[in-house]
Formats: sequence, C-alpha cells, structure tokens
Amino acid sequence: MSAAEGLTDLPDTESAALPGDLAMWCFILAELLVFALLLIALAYARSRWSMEFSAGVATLHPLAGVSNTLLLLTASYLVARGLECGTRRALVRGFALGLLCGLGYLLIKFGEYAVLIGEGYNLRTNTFYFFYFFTTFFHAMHAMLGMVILAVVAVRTRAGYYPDAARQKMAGDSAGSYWHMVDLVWLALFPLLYLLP
Amino acid sequence: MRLSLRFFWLALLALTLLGVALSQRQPDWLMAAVVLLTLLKGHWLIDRFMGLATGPLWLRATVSGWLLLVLSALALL
Repeated sequence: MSAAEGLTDLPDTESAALPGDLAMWCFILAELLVFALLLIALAYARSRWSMEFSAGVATLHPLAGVSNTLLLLTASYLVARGLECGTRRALVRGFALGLLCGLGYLLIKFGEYAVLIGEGYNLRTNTFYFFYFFTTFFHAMHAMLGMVILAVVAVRTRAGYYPDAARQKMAGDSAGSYWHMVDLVWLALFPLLYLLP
Repeated sequence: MRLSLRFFWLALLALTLLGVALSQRQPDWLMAAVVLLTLLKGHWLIDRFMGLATGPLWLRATVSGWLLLVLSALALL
C-alpha cells in the first residue's frame, strides 16, 4: 500500500487530544491576548466617546458587516467539515471552499475601505474611525495569514506531502484552529462595530 | 444525540441574522441580547468547529474565558 492510499481514511480520535500542534495553539493564544487588549480598548473607547461611535456606526454599511460574518462562519463550517470527513479529498475541498469564502470576506472588507476613504474618512477622522480602520485591518491581516496557512496545508495534502495520516491530521487541525480563531475574533468585533448604536 | 456540523452552521447564520434584525429595531435590551447571542455563537464555534468540546479542558476553559472576558468588557464598560 502506498503512503497516499494509507491517508484516505484518517483515525477518528475522540479523546481529549489537542486539536492541532501545541506550537500553533501557543501562537493562537498569544493572538487572542493581543485581540483581547484591542477589543477591551475598543469597548472602553465606545463608552468614552459614545457620540462619535454612534455617528460612526451609522456611516458603516450593515450589509457589508453581515455578509462578512456569514462568509466567515461559512468558511469555518467548510474547514471543519473538511477535517471531520477525514479524507484527503474532503480536506482539500473544504479548505479550498473556505479560502474562497475568505477571499469574499477580503473583497467586501477592502471595498468597504474604498467607499469610506472615498467619502473622506480615515484613521485620523476621529476615535471611532481610528478603531474601525485599525482593528478591522489588523483582523484582515490575520485572515490573510489564515488563508495562506489553509492554502499551504491544502496544497501539501493534495500533493501527498505528509508521510502519514497522523501528521496530515495534525497539520489540518492546526490550520483549521487558526482559521477558527480568526472567525471567533470577528464574532466579537462584529457587534461592536455594526450592531450596537 | 450529537448534532451535525451543518446544524450548528445554519444555527450560527440564523443567530447572526437575528442579531441584525434586533439591532434594526433597537430595543432597550439590545446590548444584553447581542452579548448573549455572541456568547452562544462563540461557544458553538469553540466547541464544535474548533473541536474543543472533546479537547483538553484547560484549553477549552482558556478560549471560552477569552470570549467571556471580551464580552464582559463590552457589557460593563
């Protein structure tokens, strides 16, 4: 049996094992710490400059925020389903479709920036726009990194790069966990910027 | 019964749309509703998509704690 054939059916591990590599989880927890500081600062600024925030939120297009949330949730679902199925083909397909959703998210986000900048808003307009541009761009950079990680794992999996099923699962889980972290941060960011007046 | 990933995905989409619908009406309890909806969505994402429901307890507690901390700041500040 070739190495590639041996990778088709991955073991179903329901134990309390870490989903992915420990180093990746250290990285994810460090990222979450940074985002926690940023989100707490954003929540504080929102209460301190409530008028600016109310006026600022009204200038954002809610459809863009909702579309991005739905795209990121769908991307997370596709990635998780690809991992749950446990086959190489499902992983590559799930990651590829997740990447497409991620691309849609970036297109909408940068389209939103273009509209706002075209209307004369930028980082220096006021506190709301500083936080809006800074946090969402910082998050978008992480989404881009997540997409690169998903793409690398998908390409390597397709090419049969991983020598055994365990290493393939480790790489897939690590990439998936990072992507879900990006989604989790957006879930906290979305109501702060789009839902609450 | 173990619910499928598709169920949680559809529920997450539905809760997102519910939050948006509530924000359009702006009831007095909007903040509480949005925080609770986000907490539920984050909990499902952590447990089902990240797979931490069957992962190490310390990691699940840390990531869930992160969500709780951020949402508490949003609600209390």
